[in-house]
Amino acid sequence: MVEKERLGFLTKLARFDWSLLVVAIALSVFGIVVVYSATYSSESQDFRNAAFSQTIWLLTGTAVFFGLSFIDYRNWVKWGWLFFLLSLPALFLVLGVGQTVNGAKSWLRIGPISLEPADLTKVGFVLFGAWWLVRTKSRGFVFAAPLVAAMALPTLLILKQPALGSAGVFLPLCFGILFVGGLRMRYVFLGVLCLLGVLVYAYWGVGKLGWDIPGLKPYQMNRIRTFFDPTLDPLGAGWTINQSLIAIGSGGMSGKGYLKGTQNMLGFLPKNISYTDFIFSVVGEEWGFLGGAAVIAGECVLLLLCLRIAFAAREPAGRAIAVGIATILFTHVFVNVGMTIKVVPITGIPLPFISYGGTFLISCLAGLGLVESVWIHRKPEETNLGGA
Amino acid sequence: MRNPLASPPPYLPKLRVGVVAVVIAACLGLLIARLWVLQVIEGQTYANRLRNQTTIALRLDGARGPILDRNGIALAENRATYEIDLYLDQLVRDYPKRHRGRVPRIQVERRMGGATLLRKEPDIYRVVMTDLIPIANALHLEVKLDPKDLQRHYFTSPTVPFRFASDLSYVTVARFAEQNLGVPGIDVAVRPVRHYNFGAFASHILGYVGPPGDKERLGPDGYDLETMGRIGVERLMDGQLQGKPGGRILRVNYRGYIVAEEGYTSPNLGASVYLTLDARIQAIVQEALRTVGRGAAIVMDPNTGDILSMASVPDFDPNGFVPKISQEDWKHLTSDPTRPLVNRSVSPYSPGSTFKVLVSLAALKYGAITPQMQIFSPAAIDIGGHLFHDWTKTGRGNITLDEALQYSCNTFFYQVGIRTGIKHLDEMAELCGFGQPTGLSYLGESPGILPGPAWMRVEHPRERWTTAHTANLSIGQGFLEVTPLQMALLMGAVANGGTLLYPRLIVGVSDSQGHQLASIPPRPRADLGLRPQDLNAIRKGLLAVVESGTGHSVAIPGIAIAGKTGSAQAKRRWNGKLYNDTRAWFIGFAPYEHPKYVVCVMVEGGIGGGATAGPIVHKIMEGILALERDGSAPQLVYFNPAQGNFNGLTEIQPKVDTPPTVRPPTPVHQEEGPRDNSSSDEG
Repeated sequence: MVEKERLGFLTKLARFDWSLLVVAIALSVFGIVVVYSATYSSESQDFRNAAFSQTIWLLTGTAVFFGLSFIDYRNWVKWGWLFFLLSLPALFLVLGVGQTVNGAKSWLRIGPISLEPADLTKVGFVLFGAWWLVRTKSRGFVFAAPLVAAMALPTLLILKQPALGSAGVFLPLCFGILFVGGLRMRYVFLGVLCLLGVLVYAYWGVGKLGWDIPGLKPYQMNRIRTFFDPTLDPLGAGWTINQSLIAIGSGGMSGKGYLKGTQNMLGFLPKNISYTDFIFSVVGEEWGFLGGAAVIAGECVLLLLCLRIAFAAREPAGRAIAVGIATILFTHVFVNVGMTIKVVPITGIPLPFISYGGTFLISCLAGLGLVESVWIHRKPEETNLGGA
Repeated sequence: MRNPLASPPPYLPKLRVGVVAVVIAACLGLLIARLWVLQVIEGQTYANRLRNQTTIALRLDGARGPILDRNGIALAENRATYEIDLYLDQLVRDYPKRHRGRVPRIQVERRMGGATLLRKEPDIYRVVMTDLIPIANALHLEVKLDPKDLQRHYFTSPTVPFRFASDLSYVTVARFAEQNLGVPGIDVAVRPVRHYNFGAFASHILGYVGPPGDKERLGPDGYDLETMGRIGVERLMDGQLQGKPGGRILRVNYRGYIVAEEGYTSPNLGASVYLTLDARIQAIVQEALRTVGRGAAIVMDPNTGDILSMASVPDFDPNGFVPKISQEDWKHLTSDPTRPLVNRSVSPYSPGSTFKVLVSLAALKYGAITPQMQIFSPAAIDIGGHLFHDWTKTGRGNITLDEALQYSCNTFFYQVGIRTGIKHLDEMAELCGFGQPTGLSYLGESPGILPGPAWMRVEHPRERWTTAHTANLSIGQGFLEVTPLQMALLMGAVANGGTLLYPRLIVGVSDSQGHQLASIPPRPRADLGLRPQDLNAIRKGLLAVVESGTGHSVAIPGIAIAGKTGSAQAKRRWNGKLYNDTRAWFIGFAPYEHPKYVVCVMVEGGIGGGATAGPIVHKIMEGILALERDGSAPQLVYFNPAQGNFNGLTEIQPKVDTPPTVRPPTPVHQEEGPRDNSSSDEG
């Protein structure tokens, strides 16, 4: 069904949007710099190599980015449902034989490589959404229902790991694809209403009245409770958020200087998360408000670049891919940064391009590669919107 | 459109992408705003919290300053003692490396924020024992540790060393060093501990130190005090003696392990307190006095009021209070019926005939008699219908004041006292400080009792003051009670020409570098207002006492000593029987022409002033003379506590009949405790 126009390699190169790659690599390099700071004082050799490993991952990821950029994304959309379905057994598998990291069984070890299947499922879901968007003419219930159902399955599986943060990415992702895919406004309103309901429930019910959320493990419930009141357990669940606030808060306007973050050096920020999920605390402490705001702004620029591509996309599938990837990245940025500064409860998800983590960095760059592909394979007459 | 899939959609996709862009930008803007609040507006708060949790301040106790005698001999100072300290955090940290294993853990209940949590913590008792047992075995030390204590200490203050053994012997420390027994985290530390160099030496004056009680823990700077002065000079001068504490500011990591030192202020030695005591004279006096079971002796400089020596028997060794007195020792000290903790030099006793000195002063001052006036003094006189006896059976005939003093004639002083009148007697006694504290309240001094009509109205409202009472007072009996210190001061005034002084025990305070911080000058209290010829008459009488009177036992060839004896009869109930517990006194001064020493000795359970107190004064004066002559003084050695006893008590056989012509019954006053004593007269 998808009509293919064959573009030559040089044409593709000429259409390449370098800005996306430049911002992504700039953020990643800064990430490596911060990862080094977060790990250099650690006794453990595993941590010390983190910056070097991350550099290798960045190079690999960049290669993947280029590879995916030059392949027409519509090849993937055609088989979108298949990618999604293939990623599901991995989620089942990880529940059985996965490695437990920070309390969640979310890592799959294949030889020397560990990967988080949830990351693959996210990208798989984007392709699935794009595929369904193209397949169905409906922009109502028939359009929304399968996507919501397809979202629920991985969400539940990931919650079972249990990785609350990763599971939470699917809801905005699904909503983003439906919204930009053209879901009728009444459904959109229904969705927004549900979202507001959940927020009110979380704030009033859980936060103020102390209700339990059914299906959550006690430690997850504790995290959420300590989000509302970090003094509940200052040495347990409240420890991390308190120390993160102290780290970032004490950074002040311009920070304590590179490699001078005492919260991280003296181990108040736990060493095993200061270079992954809590990397933003290290940024805030050592680089201050200026550094922290710059990172958020950088991520924002990257997301807007993705949305510009969605804007310029030649057809709904490409638009869905660009918006879907942007939504995944956005959710990660918002939840990750938000939890370090007590805007959202603590959930273990990394900060795109900054946090240490090979598969996640490669997944992000792969996602951007898809988006780049959407740009390169956009309608020729819309080039005037900018870019190469 | 060419592409069937790209048929015009029924909505505006670009608008929706724009909405998404706005939502995303808004959310990230929110994050930046929150970041601004956190870092720029509230930044200082978090910086302070960071400082609080990454630094700890340790107090380093300042060493207590010494107490020295007037010549700079240290009576109390700090001695280095050795102890073994356990650095719990380091032991836990090094455990895996040294013992090739994981740190043993234990489930502990901790209360936090109202909730009780179960936490896994290092089993500090097992960790400590692993390292400590071999060391303790090598040093032959017993290991007595409470696991709960250790766990609590580790949780609350992991960086503060835990004291395992204190006051180790040099042998133990030497073995520790020699065999290189220390492991990182188990160390020998030196601590200054109070030490009284000569043991039970001026112990009632120096006092002692002890750990502070729960409510007095905080020093002036708001920190815990290590020790504090309990009684005596240690207590009075505690503020000066306490060393200024120093401190360390340490940077710690999240486990509380010290990673660096940020600041250090060295602790300072406290100020030195110089006493008026002369350790050599104190040694002479203590040596002389310890022959009796209960007593007090004072040597004073009559020109300055300086207390050169003050002793009280029995006494105690203040070293027994360091670092903390054991329960048995404390019980022993407090339940001993001879009361070793009481400073008898400032306790009240009936003065007996020594008080005749004051009566003489009052009579001459107010013109009741003149030095030349002769008064007929028979064996007994009738006062208010009662017969008042002299202690001789014959009487003395017509005698003057100096003769009356020489023989301590009671009938002379009954008449003189009555002639002077109780008003003038009391006025003079008050001027001389009787019935009032002398100003050494930190020694626990008693003001004594100066009875009179006004006093009688308050204390015994049913009785009335009569001339019989006045007569009784005139020979130092009855309700009257004085302290040896008050008597020494009175004698000082007679010796120096009529100026009553305040006693001085502290000369001054110097800092540890020797710079004087404060000096306390001698202080006159009152001028007795006597004509020189009157005073000379008394002095002549006092000289005669030693030369050929009741105090002849004091006499030393080559030096003129003046003084007055006294024997106050007191009764004591002991083991259910009534005993005579005579207080034997001697107060005097020497040399006669230019007095340099006032001596006052009081012995409980003596025979009489001349017989019991006299020889002691003799011994003291001999010692002082030898000291003056060629500087030979007894060697300052470690004094063991002088033991108290009740020797010298003579049992009173209960009398069946009472002669009708006795004086009014002597008051029986109740001392605290089981004893019951009364005093009656004697020459």
